[in-house]
Amino acid sequence: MQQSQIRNFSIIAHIDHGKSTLADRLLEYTGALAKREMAEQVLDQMDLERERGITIKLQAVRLRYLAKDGLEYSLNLIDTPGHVDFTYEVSRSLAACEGALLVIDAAQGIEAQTLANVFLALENNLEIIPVINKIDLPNADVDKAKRELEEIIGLAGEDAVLTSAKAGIGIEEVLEAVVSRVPPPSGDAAAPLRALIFDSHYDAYRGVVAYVRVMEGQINERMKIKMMSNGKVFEVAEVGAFRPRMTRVETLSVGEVGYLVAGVKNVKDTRVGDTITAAERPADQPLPGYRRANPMVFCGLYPVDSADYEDLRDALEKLNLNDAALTYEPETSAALGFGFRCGFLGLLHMEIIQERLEREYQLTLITTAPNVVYRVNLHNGATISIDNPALLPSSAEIISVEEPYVTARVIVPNQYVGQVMELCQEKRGVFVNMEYLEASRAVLTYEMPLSEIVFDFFDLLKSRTRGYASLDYQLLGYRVSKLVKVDLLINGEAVDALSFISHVERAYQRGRELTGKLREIIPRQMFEVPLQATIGQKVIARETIKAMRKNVLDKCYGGDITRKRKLLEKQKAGKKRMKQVGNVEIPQEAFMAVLRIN
Amino acid sequence: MRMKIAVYIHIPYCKSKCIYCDFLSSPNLAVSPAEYLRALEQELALRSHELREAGVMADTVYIGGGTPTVLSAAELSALLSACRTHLPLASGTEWTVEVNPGTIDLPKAAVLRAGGVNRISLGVQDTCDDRLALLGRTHTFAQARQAFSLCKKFFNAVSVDVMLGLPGQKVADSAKTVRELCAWQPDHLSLYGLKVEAGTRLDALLEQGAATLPAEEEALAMMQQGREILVAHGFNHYELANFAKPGHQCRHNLSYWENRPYLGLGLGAHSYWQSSRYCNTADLPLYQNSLLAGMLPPATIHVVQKREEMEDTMMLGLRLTGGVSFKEFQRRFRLDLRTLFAAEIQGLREKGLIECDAETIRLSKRGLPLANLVFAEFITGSP
Repeated sequence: MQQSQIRNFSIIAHIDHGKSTLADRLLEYTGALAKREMAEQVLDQMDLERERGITIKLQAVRLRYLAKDGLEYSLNLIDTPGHVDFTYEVSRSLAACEGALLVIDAAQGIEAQTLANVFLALENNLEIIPVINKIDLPNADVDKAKRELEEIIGLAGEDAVLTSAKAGIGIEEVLEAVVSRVPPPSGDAAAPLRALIFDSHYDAYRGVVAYVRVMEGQINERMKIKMMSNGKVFEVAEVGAFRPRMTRVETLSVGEVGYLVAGVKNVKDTRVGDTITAAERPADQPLPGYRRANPMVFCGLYPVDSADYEDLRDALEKLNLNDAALTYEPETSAALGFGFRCGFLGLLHMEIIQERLEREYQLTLITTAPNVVYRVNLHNGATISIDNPALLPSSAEIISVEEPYVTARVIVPNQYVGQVMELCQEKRGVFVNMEYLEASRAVLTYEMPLSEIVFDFFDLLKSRTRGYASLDYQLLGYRVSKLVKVDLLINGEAVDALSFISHVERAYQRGRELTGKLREIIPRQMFEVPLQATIGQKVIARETIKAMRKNVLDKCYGGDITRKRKLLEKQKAGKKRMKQVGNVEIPQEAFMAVLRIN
Repeated sequence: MRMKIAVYIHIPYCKSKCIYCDFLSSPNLAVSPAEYLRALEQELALRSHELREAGVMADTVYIGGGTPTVLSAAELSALLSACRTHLPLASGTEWTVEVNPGTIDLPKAAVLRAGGVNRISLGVQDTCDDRLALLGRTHTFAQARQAFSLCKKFFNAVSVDVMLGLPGQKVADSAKTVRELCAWQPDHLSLYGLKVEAGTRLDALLEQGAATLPAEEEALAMMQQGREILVAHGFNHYELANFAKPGHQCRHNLSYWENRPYLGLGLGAHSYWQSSRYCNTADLPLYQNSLLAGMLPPATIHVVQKREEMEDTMMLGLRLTGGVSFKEFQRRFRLDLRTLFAAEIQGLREKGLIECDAETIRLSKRGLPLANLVFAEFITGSP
């Protein structure tokens, strides 16, 4: 394919603004898939993605389009995740593109997360084509969406393509805009090979399948390639394109997007963001990598059955292959035994990894409440980073504790501004400014401790604004805060996995709420179980789980035996999902209880 | 020696549904009692053939429901004669019928006795008329007393059912009830704590806050005090909820607790027979039509494996205050239960929930109200 007839683009959209439907229509229109072949929303291949209506892993597909100028174009669509947690993934896909469709819901307008991704795209010098979608909705307001485009992003509203992906309106116009407005890939076909790895997956038979964008030169079968980060050399066994199923081709040349298989057994040898070059005629410089993804949220993951520890390690290793943002380190908890301290980009990322571990690897896990990384300045002059609250040194050793702050941007309709400000205040937010995005919506900017966002900010924001607010945040830096560690004692024993770090002014209330919640969650034992929250030696909250006095079925005759046995089996199965801490059996959800208070 | 079996016969009719009841019974069924009895007789005939072929005799017969005595005297007479015609009966058969006050009169009592019934289980439940009305019982306490006197005249043994832990009930109330019933001198008494079953009217009332149950501590005290009163009156506490004067333990129910075979006939009836558990269909037309076509009604079948049988033997046997005999277990399974369940037994002894002597293992006094915790230890999950 002529380089001038290639276009690489992605789609930026807020959740529910219609990205997947639009992608499906583009596939359908260009005949990449017949209608009947299409599972709803082809690009979201993971069950989890389809259930939640979001894109997690990025996907790529090649479309062949005969444009009105009479030429056939090869359009590579690289899908991007829409959630704030996945900024890293977005930057990966944007680096492989020259253009992006910005999809805006005609009824909802621009949202905070979309904005963040648009700025990323602009940083990458991408050509942005605004697409105002869902124009057939009765409450669509195209003029308002155009005004927002101009006022918020500075794009000309009149350049927007108007579509209804659902009704199939404007699909050809979108494709024409991609052809005429997105620049063809630059790059020199004769130069030494430089290809960017933007994703990968592991295939049990073929080894690592790397997803690449060729920036310069070309890749052929049987060519010897070299990874520029570690110098390792492999022979290419297969190259191919996504149509959308993986399809073998002879060559991937400059500007093209596709995959390659080169007998790579170790996933670490195809690090996403690395540059592939030719072993015989290597390039001098690798391509610029990605914005590094630093995990911001940590939690402990423990198998309920300690025999599953190795399986959990293997599963994390596999997930880590194409999700470099996930980190994991072995850790030991006195209460939970052997497990891993895992780092995530955000809460959604954490939930998704947890669900994938449980669903795809059939693991039963205990997850501890998420926390951020604290920096602790000690009297001995050292500064240590703490990603597990239980590890906070005693107050006597500490000069100060710093916690990560973020700049949080909330876009909200005017009538909820008061509620959002109140919430941000409650969550220790420091007001920065407020701007109006046209008459009906405002952008509020606050500096906030990340720990508060991790705690329950997002849920409260949704409920107090009836879901109308959208949130985006970026790490700002570390600040000293008055923080204390709260420990939980169950039946007199400290349970390390339940410790949390809190601002001193909130510690008492959270301690009370958590003990109250645990009293509801932990089933009664044969003896009375005291629950205490403490700061150092000081007890700040106390509850008691009364002893179970009666658990008997009085009637058991011929017709009751099967039912009774089933009941006992169920009781037994429930017990298997509990963790024995001291003499007390604690259910899985107790370890997340700190998040569920209020 | 010929093998013996317990036979249960289910009569799904009742006068009106009590608010706590989730049994397979109803005051208005699509099939008339006469039609139902015809189907039942067919089932009796088919099953009896099996029993005779296997050389098994009915040692106990128990007619329950529902309320069997909502049937007319003529219907009862026909039912009993069908049983006598078809079932191979051992001599000295224990023959029980469940009776509710207000559904028994002199002619019915006479018919039952003539038909061979020698034991009555009478649902008295409570002494307080207001609470009886709240529970949806269709009789007063005075009617219960009349029914008891009548039964006492006609039958060798009369048992009464009493419920505790009722809405609005105090410990003093339940103690008074138990004392009053002791004064009647029944031969046997069952003491049940009220259990709230999902989907019953009681469940809905509690949900709406229209009724409240005594706290767990109170319900427990009611049970313990009831037990003390009964023991003081010469009753032997032989099963979690059952008390008997010497020689009056219910032989039929002992079959269940000793995990011995039983045959259930009628709509939705359960059987444990030839190492399988069966449950007849609960679909009345299906039940009737199968039998009219000369076939046994459809039933779910679960084959009980050896391990499960051993677990069931523990789960059921520990309900008896006499516990499970090591020798008996050894004879039945050729295994020593102390070895088989060594870890479970040790854990339960440490918790003080069971006690052992040279011959038996049984619930401790502390273990009685926590019996489910003990049973669960002996269940290792679905085979």
